[in-house]
Amino acid sequence: MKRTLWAAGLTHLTKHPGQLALALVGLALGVATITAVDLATQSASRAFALSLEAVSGPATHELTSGPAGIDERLYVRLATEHPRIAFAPIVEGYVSVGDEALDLAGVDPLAEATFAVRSGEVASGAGLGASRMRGFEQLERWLTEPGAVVVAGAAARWLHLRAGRAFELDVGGHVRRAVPIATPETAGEGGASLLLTDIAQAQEWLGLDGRLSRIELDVPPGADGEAALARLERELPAGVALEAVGRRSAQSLDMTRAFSTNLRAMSLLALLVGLLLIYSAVSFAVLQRRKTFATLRALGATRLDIVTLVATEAAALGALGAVAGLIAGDALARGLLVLVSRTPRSRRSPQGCSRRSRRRRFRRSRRRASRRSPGSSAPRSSRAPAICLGRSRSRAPCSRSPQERSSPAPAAASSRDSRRSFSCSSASRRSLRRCSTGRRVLRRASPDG
Amino acid sequence: MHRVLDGVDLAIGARGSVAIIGRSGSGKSTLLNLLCGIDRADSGTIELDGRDVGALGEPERTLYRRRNVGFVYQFFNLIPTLDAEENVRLPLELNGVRTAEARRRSEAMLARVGLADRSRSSVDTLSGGEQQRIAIARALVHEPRLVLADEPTGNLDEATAREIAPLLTELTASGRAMLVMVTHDRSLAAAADRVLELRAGRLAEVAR
Repeated sequence: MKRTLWAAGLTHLTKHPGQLALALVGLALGVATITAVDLATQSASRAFALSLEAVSGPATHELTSGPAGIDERLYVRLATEHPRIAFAPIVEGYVSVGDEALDLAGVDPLAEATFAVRSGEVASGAGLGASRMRGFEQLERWLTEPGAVVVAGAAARWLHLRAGRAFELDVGGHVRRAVPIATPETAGEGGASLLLTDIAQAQEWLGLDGRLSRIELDVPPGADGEAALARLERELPAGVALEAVGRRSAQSLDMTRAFSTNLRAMSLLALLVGLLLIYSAVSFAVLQRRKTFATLRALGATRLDIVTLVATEAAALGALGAVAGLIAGDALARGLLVLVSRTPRSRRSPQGCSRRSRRRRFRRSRRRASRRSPGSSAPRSSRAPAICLGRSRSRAPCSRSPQERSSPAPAAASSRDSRRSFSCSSASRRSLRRCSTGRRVLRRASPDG
Repeated sequence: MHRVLDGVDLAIGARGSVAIIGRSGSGKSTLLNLLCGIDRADSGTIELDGRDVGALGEPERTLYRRRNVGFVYQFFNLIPTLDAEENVRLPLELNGVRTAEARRRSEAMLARVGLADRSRSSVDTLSGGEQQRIAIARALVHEPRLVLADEPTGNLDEATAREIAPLLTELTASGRAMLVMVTHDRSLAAAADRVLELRAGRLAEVAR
């Protein structure tokens, strides 16, 4: 009924496609912006939370200090003096592969093994700890091969990395050579941007000789654990803070909340602009049709008929614009997510080096290395025979003999005693890696050999 | 407060036609707005078939207008987004006539004004005379009791006006409608049963 009346009202905008397009595009852009920003910030926050969880692993507490980090000798002392608590040293930093930023985590596989066994992660197969453990199947390569890293399978595909094939790594503007020795699929969503390497390697790359970013603690539940924690807290040196892992995550998420709020406010502003555009378009269309509406009223159309016509027109415009905006917002969110997830480092190194110049420097260093040792293309660090096990640069005591140190670790890693006995300083492990003789010792000491 | 109409007294018989002449601003259009119920008089009564239009509320006056009044404007006031037939059909659909029946009646009305072959034409493509014929068809298609014409030939050339004037009066007379037209066109006024002049807010019979 009143089909002609509807046609009289609703065909106006279809006969003015410019006005219709302006209103639709305005609203669609507003809706797309708010949808995209909302999706992107939510995804980024979730990824951030998962990353924190992945990096934290099964830890209940952690020790942190200022920007200079923690002296690694503290770790050795604490691990020896507090048998009720499991400790895992971590060195963290940021690196770039191509244009993508990754979190570099230097871990001690032997400490991690005990950590994972204690928390039951190995049995459940969940979390990054389990993936770390699987990555350690190639422990020999992990400990001895310069630049050995473990990359999550998803990241490896995304960055076109293959196990055993070296790639360039930008660490603070310096190009380093890294070799993926494993690309496990168990890193989970939160570990996708994580690059794992041996703690000594991370210290070397990040210039943190003898320093740790933090020490993770796994405190057993119950009164015993609380008592052990209280004793540990009393013995901590000045400047080292003990805090629960959840609190740190919450603080970090709080920091991102302000960013999300700003983004949401900007997207709401975009939506408001879209609404104003649709308001203007509808108002203009009504003004243009004042004479038509007056004629309709004179012919007997009620006020309600006219209001219904205008409201239906606005609602149809709104619905069309919203649907278009949601579709566009979904596509835009994918692009925004990449931008929001990137750090400034992923776009440009702090020293302002271009990728080309970094590559040039990397080739130059390789040429120099090959001049020193004709016929060898291996990097200098892997060939240097200067440091062997007997001449370790270790600053911390190592309680194992060279033969013990060179034996495969996983079998012994599950017990606390073995974990402590393996807790030699990362400096001594660095020496082990640099020593080609060390590799031979490893081979001789292996049960197969 | 400016008093536009003062002591207007007018009675029109069934099928009668009245032409109202007067200077611009004399209140001719105001009188038409009062007759159709768009405006309300401050005092006095307007009755159609014994029913007081002024006493009706706004929704009832809209219904009164829809059922009983047909309009012909100087500038045609056709709906530009509708074609010729749809413009004529609009009052029928507003009055609840089913679409098929409304279409049949509007086509018949278009034939009576001589535009049967232009029923699907966009009104923008029609000449002034054709548009006014459509306006007359729209005003008469639902067989109203009262047809109000405000300067129906005011926007037409002389030749076209000579065609339109008899069409309007004859079609109105052939129905059951009264015709009240406001005009400056003496020849059109002469076609009406009575000619009244509005001066200083009062109506006065013009001798012929």
